[in-house]
Amino acid sequence: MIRRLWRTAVRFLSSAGLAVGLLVFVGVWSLLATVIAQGEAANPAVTSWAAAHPFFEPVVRVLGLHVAFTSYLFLGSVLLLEVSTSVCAWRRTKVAVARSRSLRSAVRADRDSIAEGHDLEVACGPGLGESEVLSIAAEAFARQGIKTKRSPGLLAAVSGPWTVWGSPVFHWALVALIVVILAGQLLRSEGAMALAVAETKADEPASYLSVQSGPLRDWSRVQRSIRVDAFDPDYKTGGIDRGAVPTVSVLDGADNVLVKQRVYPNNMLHSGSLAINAPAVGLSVWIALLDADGVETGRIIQYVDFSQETSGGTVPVRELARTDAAGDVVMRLYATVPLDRYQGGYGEWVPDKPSARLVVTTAAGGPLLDRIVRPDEDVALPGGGAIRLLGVGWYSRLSLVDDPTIPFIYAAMTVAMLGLAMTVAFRQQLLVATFIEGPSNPALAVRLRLWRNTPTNRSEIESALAEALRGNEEGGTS
Amino acid sequence: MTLEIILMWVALTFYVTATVMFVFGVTFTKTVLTRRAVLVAGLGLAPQIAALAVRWARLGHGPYIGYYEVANALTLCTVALFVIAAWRSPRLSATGLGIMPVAVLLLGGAMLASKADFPITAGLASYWLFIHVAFANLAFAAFAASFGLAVIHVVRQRSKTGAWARRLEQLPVQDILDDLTARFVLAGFLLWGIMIVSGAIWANESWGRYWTWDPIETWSLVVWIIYAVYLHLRFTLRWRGQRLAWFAIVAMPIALFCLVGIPTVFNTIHAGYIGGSEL
Repeated sequence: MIRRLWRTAVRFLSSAGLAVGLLVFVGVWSLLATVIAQGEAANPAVTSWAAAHPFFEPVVRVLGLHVAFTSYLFLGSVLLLEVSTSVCAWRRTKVAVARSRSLRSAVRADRDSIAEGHDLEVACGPGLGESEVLSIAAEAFARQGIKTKRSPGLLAAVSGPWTVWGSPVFHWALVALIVVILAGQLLRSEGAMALAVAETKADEPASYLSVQSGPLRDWSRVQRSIRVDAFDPDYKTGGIDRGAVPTVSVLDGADNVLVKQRVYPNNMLHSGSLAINAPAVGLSVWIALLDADGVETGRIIQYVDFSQETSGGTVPVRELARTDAAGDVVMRLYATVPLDRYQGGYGEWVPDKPSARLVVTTAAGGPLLDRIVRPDEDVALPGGGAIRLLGVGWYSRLSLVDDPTIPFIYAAMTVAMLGLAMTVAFRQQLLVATFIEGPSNPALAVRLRLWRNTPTNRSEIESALAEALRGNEEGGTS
Repeated sequence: MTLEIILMWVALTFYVTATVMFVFGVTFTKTVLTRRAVLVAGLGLAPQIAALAVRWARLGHGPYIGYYEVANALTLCTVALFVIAAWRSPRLSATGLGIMPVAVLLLGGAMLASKADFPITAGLASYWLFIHVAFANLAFAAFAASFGLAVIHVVRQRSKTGAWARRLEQLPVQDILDDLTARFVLAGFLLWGIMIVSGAIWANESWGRYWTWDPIETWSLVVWIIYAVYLHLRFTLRWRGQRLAWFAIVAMPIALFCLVGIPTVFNTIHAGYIGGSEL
């Protein structure tokens, strides 16, 4: 009973119909995802799509098409496709083993074994001797696009046993690829980290502006820090403007530099499984915190992004907050940098005469202070203490991805393509022929398997041999 | 009008002439005319390659950016593959009837599009660009070849023993056409797969993410899936004949839309290669 159920399940999972059905589903689902706004329910693109398509929205929402590639329906289909591909790969492996065995035994085959077991027997005209029959047959095969090798009493055109492994290798590599991608989702971390020039941050979640980690990501094992050493606002190399380019260092737990390089498009920094990209830049406002006596008690850095739409040309990346002993916010502070005007907009660089607009509000947002300050200028804070603008510089928003599975993903993709290339490029054929004395006339016995990429088929070969070996009298096939 | 544009018009003239010759050659069963059409199509490659070489020398990069360059490269690969196939197997010459109109439409569209010069931007400055684009072009050429073969297959099948069946009788038998279509699909499937893989590796090296479900990534995966379905139907479910030929006919325009249509319809990080803006 269990065995029958198991066989039924395997038959179902390995059926081409299921594979085709799942592929069609994944394809259609993916296409729909490109025309339906993607994101969480609160995403403005999603809400506006929902407003524009009130008829479809309930169905789309129920199916999870707004989060198409993380929806249960999609992930379930991919999982089923993975299982189906695994079973299919297993069956293809068994076929490849059998074919490989046949090819190996064909290489060792002799005249007697072919005479005993063959797939095709073509009667020859009387008077044709062994040598003549084999020569004629070789020419007939050649006309059909199959070059044969002649050995005593035999004609052979046998593919290497490895040629049959392309399809299973391709399917197993696809299985491995999906497994590795899923493993990567569990292990990887990806986030954005803001770093001003000369600033160093430990590679830990608190250092990121935003970070996503897989459930198996172990941050305690990460002992390194990231530093931006320098910044070139207009870096050119190879005759190409690379834009604003930071020089980034990765340091180990003892602050030894592991890697240091300029980071720009197509020139990421790699350190082990960590890859650092620098997709955006902005300005940094360095602020000193002073106590009532004017003694510096700490420093903070406000990062600001360029924004042509806002007054002054910059927006703060995030607000800073002052808390009391209980941890409650007592006031909020943010700084922006008024930029130089340039061609009707704002010049996206450090202004010629840098300054910062400091805005302080109550916890509820009530205005307390709004001033433009110059470097080294102090501003008294409501409630005591003061802040001093130390200067304005660049900051780089780094994208950090730590994914230990990337080499395995590359390997799986490469192996998949190699397997597919084998499937495309290599013939899978087994042809061994020998001369036998038939009941009435002599005949050509042929062991023949044409599995893939062969230039002809069995019936064409049969006709061609019958025609060629007929001699002076009518030949025949059996 | 620059030398490059003149050469390109010359190439287009050759391709249009070849197409007309295929139509007349097949319609009036003039095998010699059909064979000469292959020669004319082959001659058209020379001015097109020369025009692209002139442009390459002037801009310092290959035909990768902007619709004019992309469509040009696709046309070149499509015609070159067809000419090589027809040269090696003259019996396939008549399939030019299905393939050359695609090339003419593509190159004609390119000639009517903007021919603005786009420099290589920082986002594109990578050797992966060449690999990625080269495999996209080769894959499309293989799909276009399968399309041409499938068109001929369907025309002949529908005609049965009618006029078109007689006109196309110098072609290999339907079974062989069927096999050839499948082999071109298989080759295109491999080349498209390498295009996706090289794109994923490049994206990871450039952006830190190998897959973002960007519309063009998604559509390229969908095209791969479509051809995977074709191959399953052909090799596992043993489909043959007209319905599978229709599949190949419908699939090719989707691949073409993926290559040149998506960046103009969808908001995609790949828009730069058609629009010429920075990636």
